[in-house]
Amino acid sequence: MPDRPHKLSITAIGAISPAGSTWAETWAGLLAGDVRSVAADRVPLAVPAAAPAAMVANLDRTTDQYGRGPAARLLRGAVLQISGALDGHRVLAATNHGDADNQLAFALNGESPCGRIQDVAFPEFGTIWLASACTGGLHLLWLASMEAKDRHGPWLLVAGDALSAIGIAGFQAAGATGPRTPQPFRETSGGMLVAEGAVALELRKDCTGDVPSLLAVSASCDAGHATHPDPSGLWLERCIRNALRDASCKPNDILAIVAHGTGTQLNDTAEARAIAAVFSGEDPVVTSLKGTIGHIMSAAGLLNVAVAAEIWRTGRIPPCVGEGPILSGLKLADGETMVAPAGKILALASGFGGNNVAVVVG
Amino acid sequence: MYAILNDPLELLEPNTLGVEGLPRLRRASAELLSAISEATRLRHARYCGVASAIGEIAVRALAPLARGTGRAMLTAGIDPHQAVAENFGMRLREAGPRRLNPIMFPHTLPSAAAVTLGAQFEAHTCAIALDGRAAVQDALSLAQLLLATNQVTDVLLFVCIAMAGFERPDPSRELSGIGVLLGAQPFAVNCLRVVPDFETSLSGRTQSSSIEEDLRVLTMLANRTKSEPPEANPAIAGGHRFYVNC
Repeated sequence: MPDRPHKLSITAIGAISPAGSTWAETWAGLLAGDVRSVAADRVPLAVPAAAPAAMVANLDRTTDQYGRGPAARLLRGAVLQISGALDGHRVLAATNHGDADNQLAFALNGESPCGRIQDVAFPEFGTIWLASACTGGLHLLWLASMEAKDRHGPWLLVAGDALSAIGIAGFQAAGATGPRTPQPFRETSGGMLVAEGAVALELRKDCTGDVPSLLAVSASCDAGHATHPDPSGLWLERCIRNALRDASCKPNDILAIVAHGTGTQLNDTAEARAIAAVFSGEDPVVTSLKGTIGHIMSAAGLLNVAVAAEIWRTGRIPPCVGEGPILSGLKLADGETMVAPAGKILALASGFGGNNVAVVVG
Repeated sequence: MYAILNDPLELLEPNTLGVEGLPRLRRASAELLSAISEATRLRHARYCGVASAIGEIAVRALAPLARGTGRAMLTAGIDPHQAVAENFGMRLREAGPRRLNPIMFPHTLPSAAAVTLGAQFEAHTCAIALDGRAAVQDALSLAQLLLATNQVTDVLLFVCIAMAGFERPDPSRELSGIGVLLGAQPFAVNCLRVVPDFETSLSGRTQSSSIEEDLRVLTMLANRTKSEPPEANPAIAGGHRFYVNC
């Protein structure tokens, strides 16, 4: 059995997303539930986009003199929102395709060479970079929680991606996107909405006072198909159960779940089964943010944790947009929903290759 | 400590580089890619990056030594996916989105080799790729952390500097990789014990200057097989490294 994690608290949040250029704007946009989809022909990429996407407004997509493209800007922009100077922070970062679109533009057209994001995003301080598809952000959280055993921190976690022609076309080729906006956990949902964004979290150890904390972080992996999750949801179920065990809480202690919920039948069916298996007989409110602002890739998990922290603070749960029959009888957040503040909230993420991470915030 | 596998690797022959025990893929009448595809048992090998293909050979060599069921897969390298991504983008421009092969898409991600090899290794805890100049040291640190906090029983780390694309290998570049297995319990075979300051023991530096250099040092350390008394510290079971010269 894994060692119990040392308590880390979420002391600052930064975010840039299709809903806004700050965390406050993003949170407000998620609560409003306004869908942010943009038609394919309006997405400026190295190769015309193959499907609709959700874009960050007014994002400079050029490559600057330092070799930084839009993804590097998103990461830096999210970090800059963390108040106070970086003071001995241990910096952990994650990305998927990063600035692949600018790199493709250079390869195709010779336009402005774009540097590797690991080299140009944060040259002023050492950074640990990892990649695990859409669980990248939460694996950073997992790493920090393990490091807390022997390190004092603080930690700065940041994950992000910019839109890329490869990503949009790839998801479309894989059958993951659909003609309509996503409707997570609905039987009629036709696919996901590719998006971009970055989220930064500051974590500190042994905080006192009224701050949301990480009670448990658990990881598992289907270790199966390159893209499809285990349809039974077995490994995600185990991951959730381990997180609850490590947080010393029972299923009925969880008031709300900020799920991965991409809007694809493959993910949502497996995830709904896992949630239903663990919370059978209980009724936590389940939401997904991807119907509103789309899937922001490596930062999606950190966004879920940030939202979990706000739910803990305010009791307000963003809506899970959509209509129609609901998978596995989940209780979805229909419109803005309220729960008691300072409760325990579960955040989930899953990624290509079968990685799963579950976080209990309380 | 270099496991030479049997029939699937008939293409291997003693290397001609003068370094004992390092296998080398023979330049056959078939193309290099066909040779690698035949050597690896990886499904859809043609669409994977080189790191995944040669990594599978390393996983096959070391997986039998893993005795626990809590397993993690880590990879460390620079852009083993980059050429696959570039090729995917070029096909997108030339043929349009409807002519893309969906099998290629997951291999455009930096985590592709980690999850591909993780499936082979049955890594049900995690499959993560480490990137950046200090990726090897970061990966070793993460491996030791996973073992020290009882998250896993075995960690398989594959380090690769195969920057060449699978479909467009650069004849002037050398493709190489090494797989090492770290476990919570000592291995039955002769093994190298990882000391607590393993990171600094990598060429005596505290900061890595390049993955290539770390790879050389890691290979050197894996070469030194020692018989250690059973202890709780993680141990490297060994490495599997080979060169592919076009």
